[in-house]
Amino acid sequence: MVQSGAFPGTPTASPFGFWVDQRPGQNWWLHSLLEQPLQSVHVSIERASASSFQVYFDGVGGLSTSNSMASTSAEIGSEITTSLARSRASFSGMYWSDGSSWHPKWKSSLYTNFGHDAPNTFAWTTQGSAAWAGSPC
Amino acid sequence: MRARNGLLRHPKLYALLTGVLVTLAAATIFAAAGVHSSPVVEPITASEQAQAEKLAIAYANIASSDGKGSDGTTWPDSVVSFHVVASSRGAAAAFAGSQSDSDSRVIVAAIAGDFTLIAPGPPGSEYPSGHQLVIVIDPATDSVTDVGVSGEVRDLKALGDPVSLR
Repeated sequence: MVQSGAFPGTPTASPFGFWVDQRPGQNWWLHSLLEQPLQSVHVSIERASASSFQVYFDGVGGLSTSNSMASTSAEIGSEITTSLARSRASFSGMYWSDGSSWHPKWKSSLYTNFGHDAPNTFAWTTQGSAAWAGSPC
Repeated sequence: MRARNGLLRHPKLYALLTGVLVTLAAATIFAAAGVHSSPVVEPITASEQAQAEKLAIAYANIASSDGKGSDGTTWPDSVVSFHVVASSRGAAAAFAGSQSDSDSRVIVAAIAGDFTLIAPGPPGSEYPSGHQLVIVIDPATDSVTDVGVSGEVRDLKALGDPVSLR
C-alpha cells in the first residue's frame, strides 16, 4: 500500500502532509513531508520502476523503494476515525496511466463526497502505473 | 525528499481539500526495505538522548495498548528495550524503505514492545501493529519526521553505533 495525504491537525499539533507505505512483516512507515499544507494540493502516486513508487504531495515527496506490489485499485477520500465524525473531501478528477496515456475515471467537473460515505474507488485488471487525484489547472 | 520534476512532466492536477488521502493499494507485496551502509556522523549527545527518550516515551504510550491512562511521561510496561543512534537522513530513509539525497544528521530511536498505531490506511485495513516502533527525529527542530512499525525487531547497528537506554 502506498498512500499520501494530510492530517487536518489537532489542538496540539499542526496540520501536515505525509506519505505512507507498508511492506511485508507489517513494516509500516509514515513520512511527514511538510507542515501547514495548503487546502489545494497536488497529490500523485506513480510507479517509478518495477520495485518502487514515487509519491508527490504539493511539490515534495518520497520514494517507496523495494516495493514490488502489484497495485490493483486506487482510492481517494477523507478518513474519519469514528462514525460520529463528519468530513468533507472535494476533488474533480482521478486519473490512471497505462504507461503511455492517461485515463479519467470521472469526467464530471466536480465530485464531492460528504460525511462518512464510502471512499471513491476504482480498480483495474490490467496493471496501472500511476494514479492521480485532483482537477486540471 | 525529492523535487517535483516528475510531477511537472504530467498534466497538472490538484485536490481541493484538507485531509484528502490518495491510496494505491496492492493485492500482494513482495519485498522488504533495504538498508544502506551508514555514513560517519557525530555520535548522539546526552541532551539528544534525553530528547529522543522523551519523544519515544510519548509515541510508545500512544501506540501501546497498555498505555491507556498513562500520563505519557513514563514507559509503558510492554516496552522491553530502547535504543538510539545518530545517523544521516539518507541512511535513515533507506532503513525506512525510502530514499533521500540529504546528508543531514538525524536521530533514530527504536523501541521494542507491542504496538498498534491508529494511523491512516485504506478503508477496512487493520491498523499497523508490530513489535518495534521506530521514530526518526530531526535534532535541529526536535521534530519527528518518520514513524515506523515493524513485525520484527530490526537492529540499529545498520545505522551506526546505537546506545541502549532501556
